[in-house]
Amino acid sequence: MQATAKSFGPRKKLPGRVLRAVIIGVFLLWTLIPVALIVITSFKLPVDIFTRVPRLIFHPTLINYTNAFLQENFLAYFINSVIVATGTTVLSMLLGTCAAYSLARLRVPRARAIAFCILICRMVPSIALVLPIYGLMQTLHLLNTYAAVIIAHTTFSLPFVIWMMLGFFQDMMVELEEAALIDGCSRWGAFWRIVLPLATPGLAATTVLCVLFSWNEFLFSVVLTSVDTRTLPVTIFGFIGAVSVDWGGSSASATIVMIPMIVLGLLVQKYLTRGLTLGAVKG
Amino acid sequence: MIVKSIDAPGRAHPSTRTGGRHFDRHILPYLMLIPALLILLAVIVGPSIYAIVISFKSWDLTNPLAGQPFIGLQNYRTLLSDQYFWSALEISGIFAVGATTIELLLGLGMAILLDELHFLKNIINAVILIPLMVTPVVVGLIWRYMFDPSNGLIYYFLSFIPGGSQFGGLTSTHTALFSTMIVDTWEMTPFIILVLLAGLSALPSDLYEAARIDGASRWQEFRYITLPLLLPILLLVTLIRFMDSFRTFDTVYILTGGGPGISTEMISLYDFDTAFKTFQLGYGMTLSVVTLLLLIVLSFVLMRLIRRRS
Repeated sequence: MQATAKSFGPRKKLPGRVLRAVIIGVFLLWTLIPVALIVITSFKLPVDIFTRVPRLIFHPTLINYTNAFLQENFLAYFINSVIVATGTTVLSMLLGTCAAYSLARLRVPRARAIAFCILICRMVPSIALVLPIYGLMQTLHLLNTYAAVIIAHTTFSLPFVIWMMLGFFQDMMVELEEAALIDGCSRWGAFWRIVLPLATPGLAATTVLCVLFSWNEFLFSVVLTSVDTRTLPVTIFGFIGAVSVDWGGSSASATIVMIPMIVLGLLVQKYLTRGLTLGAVKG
Repeated sequence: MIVKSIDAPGRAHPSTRTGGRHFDRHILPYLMLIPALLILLAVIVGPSIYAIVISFKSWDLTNPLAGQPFIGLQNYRTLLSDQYFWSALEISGIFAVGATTIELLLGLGMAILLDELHFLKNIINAVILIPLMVTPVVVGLIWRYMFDPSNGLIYYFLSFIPGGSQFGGLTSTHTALFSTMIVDTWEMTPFIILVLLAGLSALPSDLYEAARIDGASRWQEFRYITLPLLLPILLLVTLIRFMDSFRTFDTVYILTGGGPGISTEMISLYDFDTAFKTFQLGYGMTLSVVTLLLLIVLSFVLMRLIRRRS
């Protein structure tokens, strides 16, 4: 509605509209070509990849995908990524949602100050934490375990969940909860039966973004894992050799790694603004 | 009956309610909050303190027999005279300023064009977001392929421009940093567009109508309505992008690994290499601590803005 009101009247002349369409078209190509290129390359044989002029017509092959799964042990790394992302997300969602509700509604003293400290935690860059966590994991003999990576991913995932859910709980009306409390429901009962069901969209969006961040994470994973626990981004990194890169194999792996995340990301598109600005912009 | 306070104790069933209320008011809040805080303490505050402690020690992974002797401020003194540190800081700074500027200008322009779009609006807005979701390591891989000197698409397009094949891309010390900025622009401009579109759609339309009735030109509309009203959000995305690009790691590490030479060796890469290539864990922790302090200063500015908005 606002959009129509803003472009009120026949303001834009034809050349202007054509120009706008061209610019947007070029931007779309710039956005899509690199992604499309890697997907197309994953279906190519080396003979079609190593050409001076990019080949658009070729015999598609699944050889890069079968190689990835049969020779590169790709399935094991895929499962590792699923375990790490699930572990991180479940841990962060369980603890984070409870903490956020407590901060939003339960009159904890200094709730604002605590929330602010959690925001600072979210700002701490992984690069500053990766060394101490590596040192600690070495001391605790936890290197190369799933636990180590899950704990490391919690450093960004848990503050993210708390901050996101805090925003969602603060946006919700208090009246329904109060009605439940007056009717003799306990606080926990109100949280469990009234608040959580009402917060389902927020919970779903936060869960998806948690999975996405953990799945895509590279720095902690490359430092804390070895062959048995390696996650997908680390596997992709392994394709980049000193001299040459196996473009067919790496593009097949890259396609498998990125497609699920693109799908998940588009599912929560509505909440992306909020998620990426720590709730500063509601979107 | 008017209920003044829902927490009035012992109202309905005095015996059971009082116990329940006590639990709800004095135990449950902490029961729900403390586990998360303990974890944060263990995984963020703990390691940060650990890093500070180790930064006063020498810890050389190539020489395990030496242990971790306390060397006081020696690491910090080394850092001050370490030309690679200052170079890394400079490169991070140039990268952050360059990438943020390009992304901001491109993002603002695209957001304004897209805001007025009606045709296929939802699909186009969704497609534009794709780079944000692509795994950063994959972004690095994709663009290494794009920049591949023998069969990269970039060189194919440049071959149509006279002298275009002279472009050094990722392999020349003169153009590598610029090339990484281009990649960052591809990856992160969608973030700016996303946020600015949210900002634009919240602008009051009556101001635009009034301006049109008064005969304002499109430039005047932008200059005197859009820009001032959008300024807080512009400032916010600028700061978020600046901080994030200052500490960027994944994409650049895959693209160049800091090379050629040290032309793209940013602070995060230098920190990483100190610990995992030259195995100086003590000095690496010193770099971590300094990086953290730098970013805390930056983030305080950012958080003041976020708090003002929420």
